[in-house]
Amino acid sequence: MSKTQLDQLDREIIDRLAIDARISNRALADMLGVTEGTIRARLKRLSAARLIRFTALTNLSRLGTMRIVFIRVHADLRRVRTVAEQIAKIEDVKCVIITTGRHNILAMGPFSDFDHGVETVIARIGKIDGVIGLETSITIQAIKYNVRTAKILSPQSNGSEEEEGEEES
Amino acid sequence: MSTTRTSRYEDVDDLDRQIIAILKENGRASNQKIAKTLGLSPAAVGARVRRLEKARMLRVVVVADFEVIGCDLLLAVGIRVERRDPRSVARDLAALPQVFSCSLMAGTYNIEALVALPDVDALKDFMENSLAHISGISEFSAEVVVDLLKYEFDVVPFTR
Repeated sequence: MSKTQLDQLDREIIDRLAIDARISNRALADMLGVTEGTIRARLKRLSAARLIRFTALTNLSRLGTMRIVFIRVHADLRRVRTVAEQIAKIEDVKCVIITTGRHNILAMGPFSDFDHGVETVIARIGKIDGVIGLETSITIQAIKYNVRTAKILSPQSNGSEEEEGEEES
Repeated sequence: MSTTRTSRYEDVDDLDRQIIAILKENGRASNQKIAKTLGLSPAAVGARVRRLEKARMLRVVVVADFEVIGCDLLLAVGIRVERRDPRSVARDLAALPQVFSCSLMAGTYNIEALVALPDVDALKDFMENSLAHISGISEFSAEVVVDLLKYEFDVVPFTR
């Protein structure tokens, strides 16, 4: 089904990085029996193809009382994309998905219990031309969140660079 | 309500925040490189990263696209629960590998989940062999993900 060509080495690199994302290219190369240059080239290709991204995640539950709010939007079918694009421009909304169903857009973002951030965002979405209605749900508790898989929408420009080598002058 | 708070975000100082910002931009930035930018020693950077990770405040990860795991079909699923504690239903769902995220909600549904599947055949298998064995689900509303316009989660719940 998927058109992506990933060979055995690509998968082994990704598996090793899943255990420790900050392992050096040299250590990776030694483990997998290839040269450092090969690792560097592979990581560059995988990042450019938007297949992997190196990032740092911070824990929502360490940020006081932040909760993920789900906003399901019912938009005029002829204007779904423009409505979704408008919603995506709102900084506090971190995820915008076009779906099938009566509510055809799902927007999500972390909001604090103690300000009016979510009310402001809901009011803003409600005013967008083409929005017919919306429904809001608040997360009580996250039971599972797989941090290893996501949709990568833009390639990471510097993501594959592991500068240790070049720093040694 | 859920986990015990061993340390709070307020314990994070300005240098920690700067390190986190650099790592969010590039998780592969070496300690040496970060140290040079912030005027610290590489060892000090390493120690801070380890402390933040140990306190479960930070995780440096490689994120793989759904394509890497061969999943072309994403579903946003809303679930209503009857005659069972929604928490138990959510735990059963969380145990399924196809369930990528799963949360207890206040609102339209008791549980919201994101399900990632290779294709429609896998959906049949998921419905008939996985979901059918979980009791208490009175309504299962699946919306097919047609397009993702924005996906910028870097502040996430750390679950098991």
